[in-house]
Amino acid sequence: MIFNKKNTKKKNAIIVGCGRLGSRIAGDLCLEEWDVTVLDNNKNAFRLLPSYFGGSTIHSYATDLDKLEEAGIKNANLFIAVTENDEINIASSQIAKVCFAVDKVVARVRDQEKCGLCEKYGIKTICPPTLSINEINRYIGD
Amino acid sequence: MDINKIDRKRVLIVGDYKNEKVIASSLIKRGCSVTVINDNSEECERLAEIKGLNVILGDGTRKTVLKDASIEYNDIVIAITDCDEKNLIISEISKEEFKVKRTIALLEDGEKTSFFYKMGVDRVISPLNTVSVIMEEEALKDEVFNRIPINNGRMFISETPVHKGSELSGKKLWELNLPKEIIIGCIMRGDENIVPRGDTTIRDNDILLILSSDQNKLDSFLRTAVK
Repeated sequence: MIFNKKNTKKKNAIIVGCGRLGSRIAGDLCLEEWDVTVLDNNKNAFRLLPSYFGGSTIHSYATDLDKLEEAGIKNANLFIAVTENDEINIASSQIAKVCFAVDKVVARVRDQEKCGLCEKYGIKTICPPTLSINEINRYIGD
Repeated sequence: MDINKIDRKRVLIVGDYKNEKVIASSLIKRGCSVTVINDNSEECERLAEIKGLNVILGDGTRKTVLKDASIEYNDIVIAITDCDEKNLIISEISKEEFKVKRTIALLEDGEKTSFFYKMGVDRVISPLNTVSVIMEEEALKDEVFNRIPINNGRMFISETPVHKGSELSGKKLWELNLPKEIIIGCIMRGDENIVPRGDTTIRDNDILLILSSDQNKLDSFLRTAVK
């Protein structure tokens, strides 16, 4: 079949926050045959999506339960929260994990102090300063 | 009696000027020891004019700031910023990290009420929900039955007379097959107050005191009482 080369069911991903990071992940996941839905409360943000992005976009606030359901959060395999705001990332990833039991949930949390609030629910956190520090240390150590 | 010996309730409020001012002043009047956290220095200066109020400048979602405010010695933390998510995070940190006994959070988007409760907030205040419950009450006032919403409309108490010839009268409680969301707590019969059991029979003109956690099921039950 042309439409389903790998003959596997497409996996669903939801990304909230269509900034530089969100838009790139969205594009990458599309190339890897994921079914991607991107949410952002700023319509213009979707311009950042690459030309090969083939998923859908929803203009909505990241913690709007109705819109998240519309985005198919009930059947999502992956949820990525990368808005500009730590609190919104934490809250929306907690919604995904606690209310909808999404398998893999990732949140960007800039303030390392708050990572614990996510990790206790099994949410993977990405803390950019920590990542940078690790890289710098590795460079110094070499 | 020495007034200082009375154990004063300690309350920490995180929010913006307008909310903080109103709540802090009224709590101080009622004898509480109140601390507010605000992230705007001008607003902090204005808040500091309130007598007896401790004011901390900083971002209330940060542990270090909360620690500066001696959060661990507070009995209640009230999160009333204009951002729902911030209020949630403040409550979560208070509970998780500082073991605060009671947290209260303001929520604009009432649909997330149950999510907030799930995350351990002790009391979720959602202005729109509260207003809509009152409106609904007003709108339904003319109907034969009345029910009083409690706990933000999550529970209802109703005092309902059993009309003559209603489906209910003459039946024992167990024969009613009540849904599990409804409990008949008391039957008032003339001067008598009966705490009913399964084999208690309902009669005409009894007044039932009903507790329910489901508004729709309660309403459909009340309809049978007046039929």
